[in-house]
Amino acid sequence: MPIVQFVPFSSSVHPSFWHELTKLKIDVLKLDSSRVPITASYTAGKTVLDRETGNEIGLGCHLTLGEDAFKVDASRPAKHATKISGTLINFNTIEEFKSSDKAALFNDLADKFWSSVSAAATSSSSTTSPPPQLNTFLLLTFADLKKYKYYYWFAFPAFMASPPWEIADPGWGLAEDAFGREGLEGVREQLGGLEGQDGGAEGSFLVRRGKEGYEVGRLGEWAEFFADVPEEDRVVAFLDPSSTLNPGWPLRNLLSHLSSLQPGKPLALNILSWRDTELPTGNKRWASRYGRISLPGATAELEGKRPTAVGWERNAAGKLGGRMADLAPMMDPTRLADQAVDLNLKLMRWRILPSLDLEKVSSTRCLLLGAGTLGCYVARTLMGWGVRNITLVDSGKVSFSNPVRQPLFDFEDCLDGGKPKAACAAEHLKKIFPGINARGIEMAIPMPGHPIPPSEVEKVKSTVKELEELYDTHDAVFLLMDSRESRWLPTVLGTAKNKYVMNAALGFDTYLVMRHGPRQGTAPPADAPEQPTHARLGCYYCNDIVAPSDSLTDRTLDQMCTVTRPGLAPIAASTAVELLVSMIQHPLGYTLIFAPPSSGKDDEEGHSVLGAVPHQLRGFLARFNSMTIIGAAYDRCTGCSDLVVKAYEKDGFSMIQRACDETGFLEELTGLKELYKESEAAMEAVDWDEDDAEGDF
Amino acid sequence: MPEIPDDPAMFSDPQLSGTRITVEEHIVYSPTFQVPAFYFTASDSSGAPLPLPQVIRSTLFHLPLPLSTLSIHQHTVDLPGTSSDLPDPDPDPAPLPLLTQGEHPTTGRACWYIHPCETSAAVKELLDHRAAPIIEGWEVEWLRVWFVILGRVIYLRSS
Repeated sequence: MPIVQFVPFSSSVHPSFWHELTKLKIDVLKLDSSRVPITASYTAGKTVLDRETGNEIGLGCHLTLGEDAFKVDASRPAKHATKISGTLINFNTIEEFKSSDKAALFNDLADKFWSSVSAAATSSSSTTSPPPQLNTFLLLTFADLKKYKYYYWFAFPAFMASPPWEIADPGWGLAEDAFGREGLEGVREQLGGLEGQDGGAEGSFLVRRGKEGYEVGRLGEWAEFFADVPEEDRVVAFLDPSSTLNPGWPLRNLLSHLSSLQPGKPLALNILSWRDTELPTGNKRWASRYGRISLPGATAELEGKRPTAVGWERNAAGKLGGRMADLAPMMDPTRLADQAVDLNLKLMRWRILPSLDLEKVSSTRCLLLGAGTLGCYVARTLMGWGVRNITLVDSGKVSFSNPVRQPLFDFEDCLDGGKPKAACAAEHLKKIFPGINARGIEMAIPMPGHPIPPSEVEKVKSTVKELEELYDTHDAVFLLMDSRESRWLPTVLGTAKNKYVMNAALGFDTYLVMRHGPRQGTAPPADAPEQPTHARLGCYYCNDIVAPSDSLTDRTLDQMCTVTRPGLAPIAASTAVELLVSMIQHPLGYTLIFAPPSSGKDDEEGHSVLGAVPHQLRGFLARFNSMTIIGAAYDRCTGCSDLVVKAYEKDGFSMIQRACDETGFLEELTGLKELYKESEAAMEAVDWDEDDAEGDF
Repeated sequence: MPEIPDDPAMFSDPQLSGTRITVEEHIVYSPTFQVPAFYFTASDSSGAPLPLPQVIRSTLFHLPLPLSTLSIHQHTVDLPGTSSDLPDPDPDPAPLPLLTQGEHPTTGRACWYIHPCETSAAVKELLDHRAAPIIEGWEVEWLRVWFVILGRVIYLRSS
């Protein structure tokens, strides 16, 4: 006859169990790795209809661990569920978890458990004796609380019958065929009255045929219940968590228990695998199964030794090993912050602008030259857009006047001479949003009109190299310094390397925000729409006829400190960011040289999905308005003309050095010098008519 | 590694037909939008939360559109709704557009939920199609319609 095969338990852990374990470890256990009693539960095996194939699929044979696992006494199991008690051992390190003597732990539990399973109390006066615990489990865990990963391994000890149980033909049949539907209805009804001590379903029970149908009784009342029932009519039943042909794991220990009562005797039992805690719906048959099994020969006398126990759970790969639950996505606060910020942006996209490309914005790597008022507000607005890579550059230290106007600094940052601004700002960004990749670099950018002392040349040379590398590793550069000439080198680099260059400058109550045009001769992206031919848009210096020079020496105090109305910086900074984002949304990107004045219509040419992409904005706080301006590139510009850019590319640092050291170098290079001479000559040549003082006005 | 004795009585099923996921469903009142909202968690047998693409492809959802037409992102998905970037927009779309992850208002745990901002409008639209307006017991009727709308994307039957 074929051997009876039992479907082992497979563990099903609810996330809240891990949350409770975490709490327990932090509050109670700490480093204690002694045994903790816990409970788990199982219900009748279920099948579901696969909507696609129409087949009934078994839902497995599960033992479930939920958030009430640690409430050993208090919790009531769910209706129709049976609770079993188990033991948890939580290790403090992964090494301890891995190297723990699993065999010893298992055997230790099995030894203790055997006395519970085999110490049978089926005397006739046993209406009040507690039913023996016939199932238990062992759970080894290690909780990595930093990474929110839980390593675990279950064991469900079951005693092996030797020789094993066999099943008579025709094997496991449907209980409906053996008892009839009415018979099963009767069993179900009576079971309702036979609640377990804790209010849950009874794990095992007895069934006999009575005068008016089948009757159920408690396992502990065996002798009494079966007193007048011939052996072949006695039915032993158990709540079966298996959902397929074979019975589930709990039956094994029930059988061990029963055979331990009569050691050495061959046994034959009728088994009802009870799975109908809920009435079958429609035309479905009753799920319970029925079969007759037997122990063929005498089990060997054990002489006080317990039978071999098996029951380690295999991992997902089917091997003997632990499992791991990765709860980081739902518990790691940094990830939760990340998701929340993303959601906010997605909502904007979904509710208002489905065609907004948020990825393009958040993946733009931004370099902020200047970590002062403009720098701080630009950085925060960029973070609001989900930008994940921000690098700040500044040569200064936080001073006492800074924190009120520069929102990335605190009072503490001013003490002891003041923290370096760029690094301090970057740290603060990380405090606001841990998912940001922020870096701060202390750097002084060389400027025309400020000759480089010979002792500094090497240092400045490496500064320039570092700046070039920063340009190479970023996509957009914000020029947010507080002087004219400091923007020169960044302009040249930005043009040479064709980056998005955003310029913002403040007056007392006026501001300028602009985007630099592309390098001369740059082709637009291949898939971009055509744009009307326009002159290339210019840069910050294109309207100048003088090269930037020293504007910082000999300024009065208020000129040096760039005093501005406090509300101006946030307006200018956020405008600069919004202009960049709008430009990024446009398929032409920074090659967009068409910038019609905005009329507010969404689908105008030269507009992105966000609206206009003006070239320059000049704002006037005194009038609370702003105007958009277009400035064409000047082919003799000291900042972005081809003459200058090519000279930089050819001569590198030495060209920069000359620009800083020599007055007139840039004018000479761009031909501005020639221009002066020509215009001087033209002025001379005009024959001013001295007599025509009145003229026609 | 513990020594495992040979156990012919253990049934080992080599084929695992599908993955078992545990779903916990909640209906929570959203004070901001003043409507019920549908929250749920989905985890596998180890307790680890399921990533969104697996959640969407699970039997929990039965979407009127093929999955390929949905934009599934890392933390959000645009369910069939009024989005005009669908190739063939449903003329009568189920207005439950944004499935996303957030905090359960009571337990504080991370949960998936259907964003309730369009719920009121959607229910109202269906209620307005009725012949006679209901005055008494309208809350129950409202909830019924809410379930109908929810049922268009979430599989709500018990078996």
